[in-house]
Amino acid sequence: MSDESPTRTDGAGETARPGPTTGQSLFRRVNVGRWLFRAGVGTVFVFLLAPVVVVAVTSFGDSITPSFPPAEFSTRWYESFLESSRWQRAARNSLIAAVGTTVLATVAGTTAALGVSNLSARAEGAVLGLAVLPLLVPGVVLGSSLLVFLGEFGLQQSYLAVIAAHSLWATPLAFSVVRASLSRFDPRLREAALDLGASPTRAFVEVVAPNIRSGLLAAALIAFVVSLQEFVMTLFVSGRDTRTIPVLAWNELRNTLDPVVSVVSTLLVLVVVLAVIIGTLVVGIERLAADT
Amino acid sequence: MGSVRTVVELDGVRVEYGELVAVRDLSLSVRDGELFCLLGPSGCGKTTTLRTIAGFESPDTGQVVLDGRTVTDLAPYARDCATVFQDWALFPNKTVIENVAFGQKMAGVGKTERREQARDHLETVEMGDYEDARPAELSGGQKQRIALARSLAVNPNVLLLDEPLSNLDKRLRETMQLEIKEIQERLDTPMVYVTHDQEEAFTLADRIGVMNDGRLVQVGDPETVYDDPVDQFVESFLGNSNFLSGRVVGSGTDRHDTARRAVTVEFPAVGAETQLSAANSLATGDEVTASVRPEIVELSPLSGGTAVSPDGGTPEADTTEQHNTDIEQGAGNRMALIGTVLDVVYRGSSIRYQVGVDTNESVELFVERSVARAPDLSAGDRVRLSWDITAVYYFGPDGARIRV
Amino acid sequence: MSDVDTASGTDRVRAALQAASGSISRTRLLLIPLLLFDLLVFVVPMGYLLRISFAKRSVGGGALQKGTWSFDGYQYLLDSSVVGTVFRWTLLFGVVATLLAVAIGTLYAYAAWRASGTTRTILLAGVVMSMFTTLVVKLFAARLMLSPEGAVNDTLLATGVLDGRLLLVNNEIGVLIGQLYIVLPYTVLAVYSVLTGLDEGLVEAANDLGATPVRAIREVVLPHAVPGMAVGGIIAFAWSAGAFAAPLLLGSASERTVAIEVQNLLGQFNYPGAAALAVVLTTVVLVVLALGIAWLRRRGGLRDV
Repeated sequence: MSDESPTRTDGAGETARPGPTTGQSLFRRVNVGRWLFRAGVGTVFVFLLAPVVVVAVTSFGDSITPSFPPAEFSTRWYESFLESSRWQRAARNSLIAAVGTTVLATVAGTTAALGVSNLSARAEGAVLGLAVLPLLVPGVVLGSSLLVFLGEFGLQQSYLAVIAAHSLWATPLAFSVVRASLSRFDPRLREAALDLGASPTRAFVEVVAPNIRSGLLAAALIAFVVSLQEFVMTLFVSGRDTRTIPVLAWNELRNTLDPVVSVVSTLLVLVVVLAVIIGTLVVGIERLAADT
Repeated sequence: MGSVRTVVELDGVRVEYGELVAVRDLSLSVRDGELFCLLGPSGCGKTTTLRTIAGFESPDTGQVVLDGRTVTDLAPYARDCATVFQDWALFPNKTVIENVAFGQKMAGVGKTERREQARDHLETVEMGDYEDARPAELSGGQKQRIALARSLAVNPNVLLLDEPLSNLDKRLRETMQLEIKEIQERLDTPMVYVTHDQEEAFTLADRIGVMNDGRLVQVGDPETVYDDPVDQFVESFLGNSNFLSGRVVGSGTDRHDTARRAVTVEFPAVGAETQLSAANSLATGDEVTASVRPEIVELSPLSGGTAVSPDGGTPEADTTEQHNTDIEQGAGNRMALIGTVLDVVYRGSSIRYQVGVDTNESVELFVERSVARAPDLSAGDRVRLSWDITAVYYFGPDGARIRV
Repeated sequence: MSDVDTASGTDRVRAALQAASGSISRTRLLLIPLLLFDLLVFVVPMGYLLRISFAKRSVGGGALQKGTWSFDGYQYLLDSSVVGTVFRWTLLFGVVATLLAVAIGTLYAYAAWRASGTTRTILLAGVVMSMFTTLVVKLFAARLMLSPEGAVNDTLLATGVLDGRLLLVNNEIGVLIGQLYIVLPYTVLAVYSVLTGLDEGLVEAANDLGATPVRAIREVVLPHAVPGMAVGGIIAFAWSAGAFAAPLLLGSASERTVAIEVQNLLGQFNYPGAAALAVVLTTVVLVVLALGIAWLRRRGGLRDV
C-alpha cells in the first residue's frame, strides 16, 4: 500500500469536506424521494379505484343527469333499474354469457394445460402462441371478424357469438392460470394414482383436480369476470336481444348520461368485488395477481 | 435355481430421450420372492429401468414381461406391480387410510372391505394409529411407511421401490432398511429396489445388479459381487479402495510356471513391479490399474519411526536414511512400503488413516480399521504398510478385470 | 421436499417431460378443445376477414360481392384522405400510452412487491378490482371526474393548484387517461408476477452494500423486471393501438383511431374497406410487437454478456 501518494490530491479535499452534512443531505434526498414515490403510488391507487367510488356515489344521486358529487341522495335510480325490462334483460344476457364463457374457457383451458405438459418445447411454444395470440389482436378486429364470419351463418347476434367472443379472451387466461397451478403439482402424484390402478380420467378426478382445485377455481372466476366486463367485441357481435350490461350501458352513455348506468355499474362492481373476495379467500390475492 | 419362477423379465430394453440413451439393451430377470437391488450412481439409468417396469416409460426396443405376460405396451394401471416413489407421492388431499385404500378403490372394492384391508396393511407397517391423519402431518419415516402400505395394499406381483429411503436421515434409514427386509421376508413379495447406496444394497439385497451408463454391468449375490467384481467400475463403486496406476513394461514367461506367458507391470507410484500371468490381452505400454483394498493392508508403526522428533530432522533426511528398506518385495508374496501418517479421521465406528508414501510424494493410501482393532497412530507417525499381492485386483486398459 | 439431490439428472428430466403414462397420444387429445376452439373462433374468422378484404365492393345492396377478387378495399384505404392521418395518430398514441403504462405500472408493481401485509393486499386488490371493472364503467366514471365541472377540476381549484379549469375531456389527455384505465392494471400485474420470483433480500443486500434505493432498483430489480415489463408493454401496445372505447367516449373527432375507422366502414357497409383496414392494423400491431420483442431479446442478450 502506498501510504504517501502525491498524485491523490483529491484525498485531501475529501477529508476537508464536512462529512456529516454529506450524510444528511443524502439522507434527506432519499427521504424526499421515498415520499414522492409513496405519493405517486397513492395517486395511482386512488386513480385506479376512483371509478368504483364515483359510480357508487352517483348511483345514489337524485338528479336526472349524474354528477359527482351529487347534490342530493336518493335510491330512485335503483327503483327505475328494477322497473326497467331492458336492463333486466341485459343483466340476464350478461349472466348467460358469463356462465357459458366460464364453462367453455375453463374446459378448453384446463384440458389444454394438461395436454401441453407432454409436448416438446417447440410444440408447447406453438400451442401457447396460438392460445395467446387473440389477446394481442385488437378487439375491434376480432369483433369485426366474428361479425362477418358468423354473419354468414346468421349467428352474428346469438348468445353463441357472444360466448365465443368472450372465450377468445377468457380461454388464454384460464389456460395460463391452470398451467401455473399444474406447474406446482407434483407429477409423481398422478403417476402414483396410475400405478395403483387408476385410469387417466380417474387419476384426474381423484388426485389431480383436488390438488389444483384453487387454480381451477381461479380460472373459472377469471373467465366469469372477463365475460362480465368485456365490451368491445360484444358491441360487434351482440344484438338487441343478446346485448350485455356493458353494451347497453355504452349505448345509454352515448345518448344521454342516464343515472341508471351508475346503478348498473355499481351492481356490476359489487358482483366483481364478490368474485375477487371469493378468489382471495380461495387462492389468496397474491397468487391471483401473479398468475393472471 | 432354474425351478424358481421369474416375475420380472427385461429383454434387450433400450430407452432413449432424443440424443441421450438412458438404458442400453438391458436384460434382467427377477425371481419370485427375492429382493433385487439395482445399484448404480446418479444418472446410470436405474430409475429409468424401474419406471420401464412400472410402465411410466415405454422402451424404444425390447420387451417387458411381468409374470409371464408381455406388458411392454401396457399402461401403468394395467400392470400388476406397484411403485414406492422416492418422495413417496402420498395424495395430500386424502387421509392416510384413503391413501392406503386407494388401489382397492380403483379396483372397485367396496368401502368397508377396502378400509378393513387398508387397516391390516397399516398394522403391517405399524401405523394403525394414524388412519385419519393427513400426509402433511406425518414425519418422513411415517410417510415412507404409508407409501409402502399403500403399494402393498394392491397385492402386487412385484413391488418396485425407487430410492424410498434417500430422503430420510441415516439412522432412520438403517431402521427402515431392516423393516423393509423383514416385511419382504414375511410377505415373500418380490421387490426391485433402486438405490445408489452400496451399503443399503448389501444390507437388503438377495441379488444385486450393478448399473453404469445405462448398462447392467454385473449381477450376482452380494458376496459374489463384492468378492469378484467384473470390472474397475464395480470395484470402485462398491467401496473405497486404493487405486494405483501402472503400465506394462515387458512380457515373458511366468516366473513360477515357465509354460505360461506373463507380463511385467510397473507401478511407478509405489516404485514396484509385478508379474501378471494369464494376461494374454495385454501388450507392452498398456495401462493397468491395481486396486489395493484397505482391509488387506497391514499397518504397523515403524519401530524407530516414533523416535523421530517432531521438530527435528526434515522428512527428506528421514527418507534417505531409510531408503533401502522402502520396498521389500518377493518375501512371501507380500509388498511393503514405508510412509508417514498424514491424517487420522474418526468415522464413527471406524478410523481412517491417510498415509503418504515415501517413494512418491503425490501418492496417498488409506487404511480403515474398526475402532477396536485400530492401532494407536497419529499424524506424523512413521508406518509400515504391507499387503498380500495375490489379494490385489488388477484391471486392464478398458477397465475389465484381469484374472490372475 | 428434498427430491433434488439424489434422483439422477436424466431420470428427472424424463419425469418432468413425461409426467404421463406410456400413452402420450392420449394426452395429446386433450389439446383438441382448445385447438378446435381457436380454429373455429379465431383462425377461420380471421382468415375470412382476410378473404373479404380482397373482395369487390358491392354497389347496390349488400356489403360485398361474394366470390370476387379485387384490391378495392386496399385501394380505398390509399385513396382515403383520413386513413393515413388516423394511422399515424393511432400508432403515436399507442406508443405514448404504452410507455406511460409500463413506467407507471412498474413503479406501482415495485411498490406492491416491496410493501408487506395489509398494504400489499390493498395495493393488489386495487389493481385486481380495476382490472375486473368493465371499461365502460371506468370510462364513464373518468368522464364524470374529468369533465370541466368534475371532481378533479373542483379539487384542483379548491386547493389552489389551478386558477382556471383544465380541459381534460374531448382531447388527447382525456383519451390517454381513459386508455391508461384500461391497460394499467395489466402492466402492473405483468411486472408484479415476475417480481414475485425475486428475493426481496436482494434489495436489502444491495442497500447494505452501499447502493442507494434508486441504484438498488436499477441494478437488482429492473433487470429482473424486464420480462414482465415486456409482457405488460406488449399487451399495452396491442390494446392501445387498437384503442376504440376510450377515444370514442373521452376524445373528440380529432382523436379518431384506426379501430373507430374500421367500425365506421362496417357501418357504411364497406366490408372490403373495413376488412382491409383491420388486416393492415393487425399486421402493423403484430409486426411492431415482433420487432419490439426481437429488440428486447437482443438487448437482453447484450446486457448478459
